[in-house]
Formats: sequence, structure tokens, C-alpha cells
Amino acid sequence: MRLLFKECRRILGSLVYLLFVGVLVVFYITQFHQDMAWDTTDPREGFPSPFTVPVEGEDHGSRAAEVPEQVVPTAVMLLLEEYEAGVFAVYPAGFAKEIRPGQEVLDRIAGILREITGLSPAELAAIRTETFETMQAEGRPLIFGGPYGYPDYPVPVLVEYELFRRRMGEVDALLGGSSAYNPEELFQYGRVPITYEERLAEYEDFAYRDRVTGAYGRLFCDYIGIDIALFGAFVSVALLMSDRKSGAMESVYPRGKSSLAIASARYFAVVLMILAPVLALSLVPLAQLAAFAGGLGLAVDPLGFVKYILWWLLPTIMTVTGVGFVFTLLTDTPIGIAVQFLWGFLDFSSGMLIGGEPGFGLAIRHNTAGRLAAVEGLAGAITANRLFYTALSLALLGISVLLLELKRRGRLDVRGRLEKLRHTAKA
Amino acid sequence: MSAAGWKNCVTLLRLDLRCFYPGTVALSVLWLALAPLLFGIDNLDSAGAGYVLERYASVIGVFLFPRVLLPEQEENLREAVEAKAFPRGAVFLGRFALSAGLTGLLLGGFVGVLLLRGGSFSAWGHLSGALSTALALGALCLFTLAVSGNVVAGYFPPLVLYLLCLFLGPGRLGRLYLFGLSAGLSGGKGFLAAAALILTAAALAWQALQRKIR
Repeated sequence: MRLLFKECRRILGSLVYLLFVGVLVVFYITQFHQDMAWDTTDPREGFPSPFTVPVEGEDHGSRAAEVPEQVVPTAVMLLLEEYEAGVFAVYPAGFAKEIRPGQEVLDRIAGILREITGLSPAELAAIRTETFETMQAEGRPLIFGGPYGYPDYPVPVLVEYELFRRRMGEVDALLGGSSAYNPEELFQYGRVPITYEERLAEYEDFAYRDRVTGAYGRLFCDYIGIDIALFGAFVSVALLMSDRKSGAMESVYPRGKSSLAIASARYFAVVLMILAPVLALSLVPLAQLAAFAGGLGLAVDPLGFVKYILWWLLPTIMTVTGVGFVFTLLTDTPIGIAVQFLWGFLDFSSGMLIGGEPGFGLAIRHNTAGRLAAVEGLAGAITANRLFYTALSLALLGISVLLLELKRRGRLDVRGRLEKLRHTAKA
Repeated sequence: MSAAGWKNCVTLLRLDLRCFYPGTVALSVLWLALAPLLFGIDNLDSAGAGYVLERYASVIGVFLFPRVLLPEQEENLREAVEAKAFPRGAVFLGRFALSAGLTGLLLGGFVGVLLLRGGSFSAWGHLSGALSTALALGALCLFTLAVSGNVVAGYFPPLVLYLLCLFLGPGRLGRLYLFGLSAGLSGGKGFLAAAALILTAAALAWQALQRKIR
């Protein structure tokens, strides 16, 4: 324990740690705090505050839903557009990547379009042009997607919806996967109005089951999780790199402490020191929300933030710390920062913002103060994901212990090369 | 400075090029080689090429520019080098030229690959734009490294600026916005390049001051 606290004190005094905490605060103010301020004091038009009690008969907005009558024409027209250009967008790592398939694939796609609608690509293009002309004549804006929905293309549909889904799956496979035609993603081409009952259920989840702070705890973890995934490794890399300057390694190595004790103390010191400001920061919105919700007659859950921080953020913190340890011990360079930053960057660029399967995502995304039902539906998958990262982080700690032991025995010496250079310079 | 001093300077630069740069160049090449796995690099138009060059390829500036000051971060190496007489400013400028040249070469090669893969954009305009972004990121890293003497801290500001550009966009960052090419903004790259050169000069001046104090 003495070693653990000693390492905590060293981290506390490091410039990199102060920079990390600074970035944490900046992220908190510019992202989470801004969202919370919109909900509590300055609601935006079109984005109802979760505190608003729904009133029957009012417009409650819309949500994505797999409505076959909407999905089929929209997906057909999107496929037609990409077919005409000969370029298809896929998202293998979250970023758009263009695929230019060969003539054989294009012919098959034209065949699928004809099978679904009975029309050739040219005939479908004529329907699209007519639809746009009608919309323009009616003064409707040509803005599509998301809450705007898609035009009602009068496309004939000759196949059952299940066959249509299978054909879209075939197109997705022809493009190598991760395309806009993945059957699991087709729901985004349909929208249904949110009913009063749905909106009321959402409000009751927010007010009485999440008790306000549970909902904001998830949003807090969404934003802070990105910060930790990108910058968390800085703290561990800085600690190990500073050993070289301060000579801490040399002073600790010869003593009777085992590599397990040294590596574990350092590892958990970093984890604690990353966790501490996150927990401290969460007290600010907890107090603000308690005051605001109290004014509305709502009680908050005092553990609303802490439970999500421990469930969603702690495994991320442990993993990025492990990555920093392994790469720094292995190479004696700060390359762990580049590796972790790239991983964190790809991680937050891919996956859905709300309600997506976590899969192997390093940071759990849930970019809204609400949608408790979506989280409950994914609770098993999220827990499996978090357990995987906890196990991975402990494996990384094990590798770190091994690397440290090898270094102490003089069997891992990446710096030996630099020693050679020094001799060359002296010569 | 004597002829022997200049000779030491050239020897040191050759040593840097032979011993320190290969690893960094290899990392940069690996970084660029990963681009086709993460982004589409075929048939890119001006905005598409700008996107890949600014948001991904130009990050190699963060790898290559800190090399200007990194060797002296090794205390033993610094002592060995400082025992010899040579124009230190010339060594730093030489390393800066090496880093800038290698960044230009690698980004130029990457632009060439994009063009060979059917890209339709201004090669020189995009190369100079990407180089400005790489230079700005690298100089920010270099300046922080010089002032803090902490290698790890050096990487913080450029990555924070990079993320602010992603999240806040050009409206709130003005001329500090790094991704002007992909956003279709004209101008701004000259400001970035000038700011980078000023930061680099400030970093080298700070180093000189530190040496005098020591």
C-alpha cells in the first residue's frame, strides 16, 4: 500500500497528469455540461428536455423503425444512386470507404433491383426525378435522412419483405459488408411518430426508474469515456517514462520487492488517479441535478453517476492503462500513446451513438439522457463487453509484470541500442 | 565556429539520420500504409483527398518533428554531445530541415498514391495544405517538448487541437482549424504554416536560453 500511495503522489505531481485532468474538465464543460444546460435551463427547439412532462395530443417527434412500406422504396433508391455512380460507401472502421465493384457485381445489383421492383435502373431513375420535381413544386425541401425522413417514392414492390431483406443482405455481402444495406441497419430508412404513451413511458423511466442522475450518468460516461480512450494512456506512459529521468527504476529494482508488487502498485496507482478526477467531476452535475430536480419535485439517485462510472468507465480506464504499460515497458518509447490514440479514435468513430450493440467497443456509447429501455435491452451485451475488457486489462497487467521481470533480470534491454549510440557519439 | 565544429555538426546530423530517424520514418510509413484499411483512397475528389490527408496522413508531423529535440532528452547522450564543440543552432535547424523534408517526402509519396488510384485534385495545393497541417501539429509538439522538457507532455497539445478541430469545427476555431482542405475553406494554411514556424523558432530559442542558464 505504501508503494501504491507513493506512486499516486508521483502521478499527482506530474505535468502530464495535470494536462490530462485539464482535458477532462474541458471535455466536461464543452460536451456534457453543455447538454445538461440545454436540458435544464435552455431547451433547444426540436430537442425536448427529458424533464418535460408529456402532454397528450402534442407532437412528440418521431423515431426510426423498420416499416417495410418506407424501408423498401428508400433502400431501393439509395442502391440505385450508388449503382449509377458505380461507387458504394462502406464503413469498415466507422469511416466511409468507397468500393468500386466489377461489372459482374453491378449486373447482379441491377438484377436485384429488377427482381424487387420489376423495373430497370433507368425506369427507377425516372421515378426518382418525378418525385423530386413534385417535391420542389410543392415547396418541400430536398433534405433527407434522420428526423427528416425520406421521400415517398412510388416504387412498385413485387417481393415479400423477408425476400427483400435477404437480397439486401446479398448486396451487403457483395460489397464486403458494413454497407448501407446491412439488413440490421435497414430500420433507419423508416420512421414512425412517437406516441404519447411511449413518450410518457420514457419520462417515467427518466424520472422514477433512472431517478434523473442514472440517465445523466450514462451521458456523462459517454463523453468522458471518449476522453479516457484517447488520452488515458498518457498518464501511464508518462509515469513509466519518467522513471528513466528520475532513476526510480534503478532505485526500486535492486530492492526486495517483487515485479508483481511493483507493476501492480504502479498500475493500480494510475487507475486510481484517473478514476479520482472522474468521480470528483461527477459530483458537480450530481449536485446541480439534485437542486434542479428537487425544484420539480423529483428525487435523484445519489449513486446514479458512480454506478455507471464503475460499470462503464472502470474497464476502459484499466485497459488504456494496460496498453500504456505494455508498450512502454516493451519499447521504452511513448509509442503506447500513438497506439491508444489510434484505437480510441477508431473506437469512437465507429458504432452507433445510442442503443448500438457494444460488440468489442472500448468505450460504451449512449449519447442521450434517456432511453433506459435500450440500455436494459443491451445490459447483458454491455456486461459481457465490460467483463472482456476487465479480463484483457488484467492480462495486460500480467504481461507488464513479465516484461518488468525480464528487464530486472537484464533480459529485455531495448535501451541497449541507445547505449551503443552513446559510445558512437563519444567516439 | 571552427571547421572542426561544423564537422562535428555534420557528423551528428548523419548520426541522427542513421540512428534516430529510421524508427520514426518506419512508424510514419506504417501509419500511411494503414490508411487504405481505414479510409477509401480510390477516386478521391478534392474534398475526399483533403479529408484523408488532413485528418490522417498529416498526423505523421507529430512523429517526425519532435525528433528535432528528442536526442537531447536522453541525459547521457546530451552530456556526451554537449562535451563537443559545434554550432547547436545549426544542428537543430538541420534536424528541422530533415524532419520537414522527410514529412514532405512521405506526404508527397502518399499524394502520389492517391493520384495513381484515380484521385482528381490539385497535387501541389493538397500537398502544401497537408504539409502545413503536419507542420502545425509537429511544431506544437516541439514547442511543448522544449518548454516542458517532457516528451509525453509534448504530444498532448497537438492531439487536443486535433480533437477540438473534429468536435468544434471551423466556426469556433477560426484560423487554427486544421482541416480547411476537406471543409472547402480557402486560406488558413498560410497562417498555420507561419504559426508553426514561429512556434519552432520559439522552441529553439527556449532551448538556447535553457543551455545558457545551465
